[in-house]
Amino acid sequence: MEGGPVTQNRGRIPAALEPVVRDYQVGVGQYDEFLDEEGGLRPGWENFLKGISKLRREDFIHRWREAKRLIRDNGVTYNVYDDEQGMGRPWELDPIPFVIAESEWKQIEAGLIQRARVFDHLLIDCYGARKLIGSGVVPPEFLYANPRFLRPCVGLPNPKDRFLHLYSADIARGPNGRWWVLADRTQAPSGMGYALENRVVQTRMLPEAARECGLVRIAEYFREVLETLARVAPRPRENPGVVLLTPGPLNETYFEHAFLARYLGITLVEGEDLTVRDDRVYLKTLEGLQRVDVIFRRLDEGFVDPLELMSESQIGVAGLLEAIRKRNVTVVNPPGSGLAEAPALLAFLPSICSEVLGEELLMPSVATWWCGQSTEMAAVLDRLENLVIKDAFDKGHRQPRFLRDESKANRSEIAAMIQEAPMRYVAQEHVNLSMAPIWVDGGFSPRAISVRVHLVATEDGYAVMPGGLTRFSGAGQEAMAPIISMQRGSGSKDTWVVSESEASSHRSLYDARYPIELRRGVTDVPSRVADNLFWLGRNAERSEYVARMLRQVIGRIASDRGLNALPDVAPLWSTLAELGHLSAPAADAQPAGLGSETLEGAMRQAVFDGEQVGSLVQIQKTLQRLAMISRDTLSMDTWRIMREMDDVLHRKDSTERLLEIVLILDRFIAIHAALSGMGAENTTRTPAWRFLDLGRRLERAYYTAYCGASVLKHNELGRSSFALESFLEASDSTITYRRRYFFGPRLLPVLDLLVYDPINPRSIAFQLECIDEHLASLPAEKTRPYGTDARKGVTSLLAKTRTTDLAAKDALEEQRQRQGVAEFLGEVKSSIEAISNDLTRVYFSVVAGEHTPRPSPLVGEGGQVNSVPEKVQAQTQRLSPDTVATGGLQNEA
Amino acid sequence: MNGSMKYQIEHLTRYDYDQEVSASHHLAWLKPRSGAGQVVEDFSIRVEPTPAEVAFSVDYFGNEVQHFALQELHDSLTVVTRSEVSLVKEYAASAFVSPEWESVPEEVRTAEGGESLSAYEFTFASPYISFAPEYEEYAKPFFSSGTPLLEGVGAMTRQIHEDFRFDPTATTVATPLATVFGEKRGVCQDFAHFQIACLRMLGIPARYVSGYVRTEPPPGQARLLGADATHAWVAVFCPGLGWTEFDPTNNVIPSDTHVRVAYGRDYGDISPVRGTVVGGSGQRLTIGVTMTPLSE
Repeated sequence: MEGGPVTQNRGRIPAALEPVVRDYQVGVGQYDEFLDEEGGLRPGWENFLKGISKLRREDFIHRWREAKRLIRDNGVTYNVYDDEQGMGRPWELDPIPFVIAESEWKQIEAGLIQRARVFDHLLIDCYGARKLIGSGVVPPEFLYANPRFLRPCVGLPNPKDRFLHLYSADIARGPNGRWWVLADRTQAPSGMGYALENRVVQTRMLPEAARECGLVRIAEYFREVLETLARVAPRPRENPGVVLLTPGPLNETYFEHAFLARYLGITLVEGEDLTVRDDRVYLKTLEGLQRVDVIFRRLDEGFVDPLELMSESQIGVAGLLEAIRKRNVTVVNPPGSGLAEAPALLAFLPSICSEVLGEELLMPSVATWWCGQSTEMAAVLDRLENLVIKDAFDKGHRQPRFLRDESKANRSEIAAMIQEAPMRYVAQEHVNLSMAPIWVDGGFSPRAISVRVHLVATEDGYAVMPGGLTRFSGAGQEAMAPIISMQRGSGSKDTWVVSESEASSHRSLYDARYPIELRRGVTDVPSRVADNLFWLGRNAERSEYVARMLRQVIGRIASDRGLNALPDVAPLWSTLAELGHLSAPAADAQPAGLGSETLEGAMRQAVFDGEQVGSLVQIQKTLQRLAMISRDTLSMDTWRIMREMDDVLHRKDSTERLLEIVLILDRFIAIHAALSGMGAENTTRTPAWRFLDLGRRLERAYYTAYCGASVLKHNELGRSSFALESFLEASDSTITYRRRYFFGPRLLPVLDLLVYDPINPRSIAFQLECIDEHLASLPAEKTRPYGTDARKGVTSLLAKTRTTDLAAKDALEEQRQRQGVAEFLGEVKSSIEAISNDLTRVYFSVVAGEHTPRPSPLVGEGGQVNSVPEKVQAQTQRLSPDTVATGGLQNEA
Repeated sequence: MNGSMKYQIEHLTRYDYDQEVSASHHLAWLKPRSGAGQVVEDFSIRVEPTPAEVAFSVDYFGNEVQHFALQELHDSLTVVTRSEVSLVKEYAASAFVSPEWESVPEEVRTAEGGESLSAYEFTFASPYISFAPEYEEYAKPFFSSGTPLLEGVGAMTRQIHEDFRFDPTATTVATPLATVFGEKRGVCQDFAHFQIACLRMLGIPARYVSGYVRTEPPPGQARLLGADATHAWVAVFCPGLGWTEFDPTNNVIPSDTHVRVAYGRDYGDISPVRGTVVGGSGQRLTIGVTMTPLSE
């Protein structure tokens, strides 16, 4: 039966969905975002449910699976420190968005815009005239005792009279239905990129529901962000140089940095990519120095300038503050803006608001008492067990303590801690978060939620993203937990602001890929990126070549010839050993000298042992790491291929029979073909691509030279023709050879095909041609009349390939030819090493006269550099191209 | 001017690097301050290798800071400053008519502006000056109820001078205050930091002063410690009287023997030469200060 008049306007749950929502329990003492007190639907949900009710249950589940795969394939991750999966933990997205009506959202917007204006005024004042502390609105201790008050930032210019350009707030709804602010993010707010990624995935999964409920687009917001970045440029320019400054791939939100940079069309840089000259900021690129006008900062403010801020920072840009002071660059948000996110501030926000805006604060903060004031401290100590204790100034400094969960002893310990340094602490009220449905085991289940909302400064105010990142607590007891943190493994949802009126339906097209006008700021890739791509190319080729060699060796051993086959594989075996791909005991022996079990063990290790230097799995790890740190330059498809390679290699257990390993390698090598295909066909021919291909070509020539030399050596000892077959196979040239010669593999024809033939894409000569072409187009070649040493080296090798004729009339001449080839291969080996080092010297380590070593602080007068505090270590602990280069060169020793 | 002293100070700072430096940025707090009985009549700075420009700005604490950057390879850096400074002797001598010490913390804490509010900033812990209950215990005996502020500080200065041994080998800039207190050894910078910590824990504003001290004694007087290097001491704020200086290393009230270069919360705010270098491992530092009286 229909309810009374009260429920008549309320939305109803479509019959098809009743089983799905049947077990949804509305909590007591908590606001529910989905159902009202009478069990009717809240505004917005009815249309959403109508949208998904058109889907069959299997379709929903199928699409959800697809969405999860998309997230994984896109490499959406959130790096959790100290997590088993560590880097690259997949992003958790719930398939049910948090739906909220536009009318209600408008109120949230108004509240947050006002808040942004208050913080903007506050920051301008604290880093300028400091009138608020004189007038007593803000207690002076708030600045003087606050380690986040960055004195060197006092007096920095504020372009467009704005301090706060980006602002985010974590908001939640209390039991009375009012929205509260839990925390403010003014320093380098994160989350907008995840919100965008969630939206892309969510609307691709539920396009019908998006249409049905009038989902408001969020693309406009990103356009505003781009416009703001361009507007704040200190000198008027058509195309200002804009970069996104990230701490690097180990940062928890690195995915977002790479994703945003790509989406906004700006260059992703790390501190070492930038340099300050004459108080101007430049990006070090292959083409030289490029002027930077605007820095979108995602690096913590304390780290940005080791000269004036934290001298231990190795990921900042020395001299940056002075460049800002001279109005040569704008940083968004400027260093110093973190001051406004101090929890202590919440206690004074209402009076600051009425002082600076003459308005009443629209959206309240969670009730907060700052212990730095004696009456407040007394009140806090009185009712400690009902409160949460946090650091007053630095939200990240220590974990909040929930006193109701603490033992009596701990409570008095905490009380003593507060009394000792009262200014360092705030106490906050517990918050009962509202509940919204998430998808659990095929049905809706309630979880506590909070929403991170993003704002950007516009010409005359602030714009709010109509949406944001909703996060929900874990299951069970955690479902009620007042802390929601991605670091602690909570999940995320897309936030759907839905419009009820027909009038705004023109805005309700769902976001597919947001047609957006891209601007390119600095067009050239940082040298660091080229360096990483070069090693990515080398390792990709190494992985493939080693896989091919191992497949030959293992296949032969696993074949019916068994141990009798061992002499056949000697040349490849010793190549693998020489290049460091076999473990110590096996590497030193000839295969024939090993028992069959040792032999099999050695093979298995060479493929799967992650601990063994040079094993296939280890090369793959290096490759993955390089791909990870080059992620913003690789296509999604490339990324997917990399993932698949990893999967194939890990789809094993150690009892695998040898023949099955061969099958795994078959598959692995096939995927490699896809990877090199991506490089050849799907990558724009930028200098960055040239370095990727250079790496590949050099490595291929290098491995072929080693393999060839080993074959020559063993052939002299009179081994079987399998050595030649396997050389052809490892170089993927068997078919070409058979087409060309009717007889079986013979030494000189094989060498001709794999070393000197300029039309065989696997030959050394072919690699040299490619390398020469790449080098010719690189910037340094244009400025040197005789080219770099690298180029000269290649030219001389090429001349030899073009003038060698391997024909032999008799055994004596054949002997002489062999000698010549052996010498040439030796030359190739050493030249390739020299070329690689030369490239590193010219393009990577010394860019425009600057070496790669990281900046370090000068020692003080007492003669010692300060020890590095813990937090800094966590931040600076990162992959450097140096490490990668060393790893790569190991084999050449 | 009658009763004034004039000095010429030459201050050399030299870094030698085992590995060449390819780029560097530097800040220097080397120019003496003018004001409070001190007049800077001449100042020059020379940097080798020669940078494109030596610019200057004024920092948060009102000190003049020199900036320069080098973009060419170099294996050493030399900074030489030459200053001519006049000092008026009767400054600081006014001292001991100060209010009861208890009134001071309250007055600066509740100040609504002006010098007292600014001085309040110097009552908090700072990066190089942490608090510990032992420091407060150390300080209390000098401030019994009703003691005039500067008298208490003077007594404390004397005691620190007696309790701590000057030993340049005992500490570095990185030595924590707790170690200095535990070992009772260190240099001027450590003693200044310690005395500041004690005062701040009682709510008395105290700041760090860097500068030079005359080491060649006038006839019949003892030689002061701190020779051939920069010196550091303490300034204490008293409402109405302003800042009064104390030198715990030498147990004197600095007057015409001390030249003030910069004020800050602690050493970290005003270290004479700091910088960020690319390359440059294996640094060795040489410092030389010559302070010559030009007139008596």
